[in-house]
Amino acid sequence: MRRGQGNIIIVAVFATLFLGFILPLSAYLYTSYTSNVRESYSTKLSDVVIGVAQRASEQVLAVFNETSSGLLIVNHGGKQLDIESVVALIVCSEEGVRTVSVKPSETTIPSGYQRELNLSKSLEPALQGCVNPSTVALYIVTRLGAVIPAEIASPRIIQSPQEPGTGIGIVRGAGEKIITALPMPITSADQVWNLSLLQAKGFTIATLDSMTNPTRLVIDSTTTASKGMSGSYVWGLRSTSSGSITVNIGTVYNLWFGYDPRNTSKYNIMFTTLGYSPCSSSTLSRVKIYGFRSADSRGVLRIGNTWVSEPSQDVADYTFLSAYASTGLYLSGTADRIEVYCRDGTEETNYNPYTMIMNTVESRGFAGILFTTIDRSFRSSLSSTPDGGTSGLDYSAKSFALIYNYSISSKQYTAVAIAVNYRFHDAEGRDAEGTKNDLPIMFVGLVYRDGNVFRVYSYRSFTFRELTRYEDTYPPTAQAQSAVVFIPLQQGVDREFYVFIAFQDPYNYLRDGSSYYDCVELTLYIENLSILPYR
Amino acid sequence: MGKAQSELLTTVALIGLALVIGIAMISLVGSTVSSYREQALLINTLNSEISNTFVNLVTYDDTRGRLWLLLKRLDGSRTDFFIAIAADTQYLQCSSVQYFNPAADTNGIMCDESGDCPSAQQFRLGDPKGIYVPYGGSITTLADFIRARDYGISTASYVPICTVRNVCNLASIPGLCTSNTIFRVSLPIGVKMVRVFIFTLFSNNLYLVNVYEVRIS
Repeated sequence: MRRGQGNIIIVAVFATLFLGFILPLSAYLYTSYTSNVRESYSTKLSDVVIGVAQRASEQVLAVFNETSSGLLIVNHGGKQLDIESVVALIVCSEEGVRTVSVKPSETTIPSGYQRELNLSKSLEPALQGCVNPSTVALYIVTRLGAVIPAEIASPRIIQSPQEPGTGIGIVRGAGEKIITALPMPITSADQVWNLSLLQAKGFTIATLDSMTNPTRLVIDSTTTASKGMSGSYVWGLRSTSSGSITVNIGTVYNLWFGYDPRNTSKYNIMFTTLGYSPCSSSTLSRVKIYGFRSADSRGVLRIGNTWVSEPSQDVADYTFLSAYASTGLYLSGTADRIEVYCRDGTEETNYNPYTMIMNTVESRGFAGILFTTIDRSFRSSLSSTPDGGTSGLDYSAKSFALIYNYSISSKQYTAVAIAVNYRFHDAEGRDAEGTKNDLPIMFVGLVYRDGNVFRVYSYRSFTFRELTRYEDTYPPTAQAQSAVVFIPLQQGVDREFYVFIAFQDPYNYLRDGSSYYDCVELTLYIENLSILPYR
Repeated sequence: MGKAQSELLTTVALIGLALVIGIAMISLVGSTVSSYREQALLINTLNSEISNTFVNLVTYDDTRGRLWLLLKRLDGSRTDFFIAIAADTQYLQCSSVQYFNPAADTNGIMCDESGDCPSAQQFRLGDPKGIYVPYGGSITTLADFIRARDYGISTASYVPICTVRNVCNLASIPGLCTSNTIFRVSLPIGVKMVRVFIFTLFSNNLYLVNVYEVRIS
């Protein structure tokens, strides 16, 4: 080997290693690094898909006709609609909600076409054993994953599916949108005996800061839990039970009854008498029976010798039963819940003993609110009181206010009309003359949110002297009354308005020598509260 | 020792050294490249998973507090879904998640028969510090993500990761999976916000790829 040859070999080996391995590997390393850096997470195809799905839901119109089980689908989407399944929420009496998933016979609807799919065959197995089925919501699930809600058309009401969570159902009228707060939708699982149920029906329970001139609504959980009604004596809940019940009493003072909104073949009944067990014999007693089903084929209940087979739309019909002579009450059957209240409580109580969620028309799944402070009889002279003395007089310590959680933005709307249908009855035989002060019984208006405070924007109050004009204390008659409260919204200020309704019995009593004033006892039944926002 | 001998030795030593350096470099570069490759693959996987899985609200049954949702994979694969549910600030146990199995349903009523709505199985009880989230161009932990998003969920609470079987795995339907997987969540009373977290599994690590929020009230 020559001297220079060895060096050449060394150089050659190094060069081979360098050019063959290190250089290409470094280059690869560099390029793969830069391509990594260019990656990002910005592509979100799911957003695109959701966008398409949402557009699809807006451009596809679906109406489900409950009577014929026909699902009418109009596709304006510009794209063929591929239906994977139809999901429906069906309420069955005594069972509650069934969630049903069916595959329709036809699953493709080309763009620009309208088809009526008959679901009666597909729904048949799912409806077996379902008493009084009622479809409350129906959705079309497409192959793309879009969920398209269908409007439900039923003979009772045309109502879109409830907005998830809020319990708010929207009734569509001709053209304009009507939001129905009351009657509220009721399902068979609802605990209609507790006013806190209203919180699940789109309402926030509150009270007014002033019982005569409210300026704001105060969210107050004690209004439902423990407080609100006062008096020398108030109703105290003494027993709750369920199952079979037989009432056969010689004297019933007042009785109110309506359909149980959970199942209209049952009834909700409330009556007052003396000494109903477990109350002591001389104590005024109130019995509330929910979900009563009569075991007697002659009717629901017997007042005196007359069988009554259905509730009256006039809630005052059975208010003063033993006014002039003792009238008996007989009923026998089974009930979902029986509550007995004794008139011996002295602590402030909540509104539960004074209210009942019921319906006076046979419309299953919808309910109004009955409020009454009447618990014995009425009066016709100033020297007496409706309860014989002052110890039986009760009144509101706080008003019961409900804010409907449907926001009306002044950006979107210029005015709101609030329609309210109600019936009023009182135990003041002298009507307006029996009072020295004309106080409000009901308020309807708008509040707006200011931080955590609901400030009153505008309202209309319904005072006693106005309400008493359309009722007759005895013979008891509560005429149907209604009002539309029109409130323009302040423009230029971006505010969210909410509708509220409040009721109260502001009257305790006022003694002037041997005369009593302002000892009004009353009944108020709120049948309907609807909201019409104007653009 | 002769001159030629020492030159040969030097040559051999130098070649040996060069080989050692070369092999060391190759293994170093090789491992770096494979880790970069894995990272690139992870990013690709996450990107495709982010675009691939999507959630949609079907309905909310407020009488029983049940939320019905659907899950879908756009690539048509049969991969099962890894999800976690947070109701307000608490994670829900997997037993409150049930997925609908249309193959076991005979009457059209969902979740009324045995077997038509199996409960989701818990895949893992994950430490939020050991679950990763692609966030803001880099990868962070679920604990930091929850804190950054102000979800109010305690970063100390472990996450029950539930397996919702892809509906196409429940029945023998051949071909691409185009069906939606419908599942329901039984919510505790008074819940205002429900979050569905969707994860993907990569090298036995969980990565959050989607959060779906439903406001109940």
